[in-house]
Amino acid sequence: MMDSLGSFAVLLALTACAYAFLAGIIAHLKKHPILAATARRAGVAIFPTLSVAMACLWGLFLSDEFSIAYVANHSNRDLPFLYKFAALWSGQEGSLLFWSWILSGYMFFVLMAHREERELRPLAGVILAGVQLFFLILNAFVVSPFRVLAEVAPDGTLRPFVPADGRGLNPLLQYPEMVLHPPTLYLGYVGFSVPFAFALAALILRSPGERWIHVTRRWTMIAWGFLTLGILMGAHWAYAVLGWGGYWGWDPVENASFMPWLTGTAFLHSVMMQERRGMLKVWNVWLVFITFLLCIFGTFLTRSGVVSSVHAFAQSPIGHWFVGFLLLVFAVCLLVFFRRRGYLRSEHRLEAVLSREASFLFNNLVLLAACFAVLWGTLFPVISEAVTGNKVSVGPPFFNRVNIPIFLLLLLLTGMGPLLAWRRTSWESLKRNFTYPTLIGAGTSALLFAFGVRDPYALMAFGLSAFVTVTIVSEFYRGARVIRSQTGRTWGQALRELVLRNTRRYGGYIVHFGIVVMAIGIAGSAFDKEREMEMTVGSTLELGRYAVTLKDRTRGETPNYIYERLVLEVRRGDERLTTLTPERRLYTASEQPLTKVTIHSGWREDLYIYFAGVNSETGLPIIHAYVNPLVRWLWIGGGIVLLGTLVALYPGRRPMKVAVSERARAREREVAYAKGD
Amino acid sequence: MRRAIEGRSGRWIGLLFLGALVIAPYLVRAQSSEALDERVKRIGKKLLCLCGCNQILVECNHRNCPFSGPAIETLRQAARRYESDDLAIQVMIQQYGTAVLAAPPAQGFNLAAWITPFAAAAGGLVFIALVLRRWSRRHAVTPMESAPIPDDPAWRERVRREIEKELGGLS
Repeated sequence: MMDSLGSFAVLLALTACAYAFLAGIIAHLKKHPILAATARRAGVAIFPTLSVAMACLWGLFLSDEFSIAYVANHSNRDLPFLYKFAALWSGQEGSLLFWSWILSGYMFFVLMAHREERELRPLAGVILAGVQLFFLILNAFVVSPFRVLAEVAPDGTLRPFVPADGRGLNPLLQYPEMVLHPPTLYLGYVGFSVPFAFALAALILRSPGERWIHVTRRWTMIAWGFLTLGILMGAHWAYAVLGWGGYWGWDPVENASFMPWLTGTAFLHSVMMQERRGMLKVWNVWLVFITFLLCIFGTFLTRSGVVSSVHAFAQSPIGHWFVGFLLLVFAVCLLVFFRRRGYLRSEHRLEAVLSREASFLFNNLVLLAACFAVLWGTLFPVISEAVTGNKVSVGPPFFNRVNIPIFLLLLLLTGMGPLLAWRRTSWESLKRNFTYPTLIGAGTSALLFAFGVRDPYALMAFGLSAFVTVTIVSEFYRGARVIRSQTGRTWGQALRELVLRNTRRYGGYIVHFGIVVMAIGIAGSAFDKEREMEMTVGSTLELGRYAVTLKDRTRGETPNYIYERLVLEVRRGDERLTTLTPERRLYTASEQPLTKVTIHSGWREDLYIYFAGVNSETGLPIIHAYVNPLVRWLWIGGGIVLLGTLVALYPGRRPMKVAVSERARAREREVAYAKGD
Repeated sequence: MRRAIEGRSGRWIGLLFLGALVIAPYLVRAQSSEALDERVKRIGKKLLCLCGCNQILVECNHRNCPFSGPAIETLRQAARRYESDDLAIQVMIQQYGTAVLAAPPAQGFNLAAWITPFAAAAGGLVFIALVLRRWSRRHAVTPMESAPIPDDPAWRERVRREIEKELGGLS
C-alpha cells in the first residue's frame, strides 16, 4: 500500500514538475501571466507531493517492509530507530529521492518567497523545475526506491518475495554523525541550484540593476554554509569511524564535495567586485554556472563507477544520464552566455595592482587553481589509462604536494585582502597596515624554529596563521575603537555594535579567523606519531606523553552486533587520564565487521586508539595508537566558520544612526529657518 | 688472595663476554627488525592499497583486506633484500603495476600530472597580468592632485555613501 502510494506520489510530482517547466517556458515566451501563475502553483505542489513519497519510504523502513528491495537491502529488524530513519539515504535510489525532495523544498521556498522579484522569480522557478524534472525522471523510471522483490515461481512466473529479515545497513554508516552528514551535504549540493537558477534567469532576462546578484550571493552563502557543515561532518566521521587516524584522504568522493566548495568560495569573494564596482560580471556568472556543474559532476563521479572509491556507489546505469544532463546544462549555459554577453560588460576597470580588487582576482585565481588541481588529480587515472593504457593511482601524496603550496598562498591572501583599499592602495598605507602583522607572523615562525620545529610547511602555516590573525584582530580593534570614541561604550558593546552594523563584512572576518584556526589544526598533522603493538593483559604501550595499559579484554553481544572490547587505561606521567574501550564488532544482519575507534581528545593533541586485529598465531590483540596534534582546532575552526557564515547572513543594522539623526535635525533646522522660526 | 680476586673477576668478565656474544645476534636482529619495520612503513607510505579503499598501503585497516596484507609482506621481503628504497618500490611495481604507486611517477606522460596544475595556475597568472595591462592602458589615470573636485552635492553624497559603506557606518 505504502509503496504504491509512494510511487504514485513520485509520478504525480513528475507530472506537476513537467507542467511547471513547460507551462513556465510558454508563459515566458508568450508573456502569459495566468499560465505563469499556474506554472508557479504546479512548482509549489512538487514539495508536498514528494513529501508524501518520502513519508511512505520512511514508513516502509520503520515498519520493516522487506518486500521492498531498497528496504531489504539497507535495513534489518534490529537496526536502531535512528539508523532506520537514516537508512533512507544510504543507497542510490533513496538518496536520489532525498536529493529530489530537498530540491523541491528549495523550489517551494523560492516560489513562495522572493515576491519582489516579479520577473526573475518565475523564470528561476522554470529553471529549477528543469533541474527537478531530470531527478524526478530518475526517481520514477530509472532508480525507483519503491520496487518490490520478486522470485521465480516453479511454474516460471514471477511472484512477490518477502525475506525474513533485511541485509542491514552498512556498519560504517551506523554512526550518529552519519544521520546528519548526508542531509547537510545534500542541502549544500542542491542549494547551489538556486543561485544557478537566478543567475541564468537574470542573464536570459538581462535583469537590470544589481538586485539579482544580491539574491544569488545570499543563496550561495546558504548553500556554501551547508556544504561546509557537510564536509566537516564527513571529515569528522572519517576520523572517528574509519580508523586510519586521519580525517581527509583525498578520496574522489571527498574531492567531489570540495570542488564546488572552492568555486563557491571564489564566487563569494569576486561577487563583491560586481556589487561595489560593477566588475567581473562574466567571471561571476561562470563561477555560479561552474559551481552548479561541479555539483552535478561530483554526483556523476560518485554514482557512475568511473573512479574507484570506498565511498562511491557501485557501478550503476545512471552514469550516462548524468553525462547527458551535464552536457545539456553546459550547452544551455554557453548558449545563453553568448546571446547575452553584451549585458555582462564591466562598468569599471581595475586601476591598480595594489588594490582590493586585484587581491580578489588573485584569490579567485588561487581558489580556481586549487579546484583544478583537485579535479585533475581525481581524473588523471582515467586520462592516463586512456592515453597510455597503463593504470596509475593518484593518492594523498600527490594532492598534498600540489595543494599545500596553493593553500598557503591562499592563507597569505586571506590576510592581505582586507588590508588593501578599494581602487588603489598607497605604499604608506601598505606599510602602516602590514608592518605589525608581518613582524608577528615572521616572529612566530622564527620562535617555532628556535623551539625545534623544522617542517617548512608547518612553519609557514603557523607564521601565516599569526599574520592573518593579527590583521583580523586589528580590523576589529580599529572599528571598535571608533565606536567607543563616538559613543563611549564598553569594548564588548562596541564590538557587538561593530558586527551588527556590517554583519556581512565582520561575518566574513569571523569566517577567515575560522579558516586560520582550521589551518593550525591541519598544520598539526606534520607532527603525527603512531605505534602498533601486540598486547597482553597488563602490558603497556608508550607513545609520546602517554602510557596505555591493557586492563581487560571482554566479549559480548547486542541485538545488532557481537563485539570484543579492550579496556585500556591511559596515563600521562603519574596522572591517570581516562579509560578507553576500543571494540571490534560483527554486525549480525549484514555479517560485516567494524572496528570502533576511541579517542581521548585535548587542546594539544588527540590520543587515537584503534583495535587493529588479533594475531592469528598468538591470539593476542593488536592495537594501533596515534598521537595527532591539534586536531581539535580543526573542528573548532569549522564551528567558527559556520558562526561567521550565520553572522554574514544576518541582516545588518542601518548604518550611521547618529549621522542620519543629525541630518534629520539639520533638515528640521532648515525647515524651521525657512518658516522663519 | 689478590690473585684469587683477580681470577674471580676475570671469570666474571669472561662470562659476561660470552653472554654478550650469545645475546648480540638477537639484539642485532631485534634492532634490525625494528629498523625494517620503520623502513617498510616509510616506503609503504609511497604506495597505495588497491583493494578499492584508496588508502595508503600501510594505513589500510580493512579487516582481512585481500590486498594490503600480502602486499605489505611482499614489501617487507623486498626491503630485506634490497638496501635501496627505489629497488624495493620497483619490486612492488613489477608485482602490482604502476597503480600501486600512491602518486604518479614524474616521467613520460605522467609528468603531466605534476606539471599541469602549476602550468594552469601560471597560465591564469599570465592571463590576469595581461588583463590588468590592457585595463591600465585603456584607463589612463589622471594624477590625484590635478583632478578637480567637483562642487556637486550629488557627487559628494555618493562619496559619503561609499565611505560609509566601506567603513561600515563608522565615520
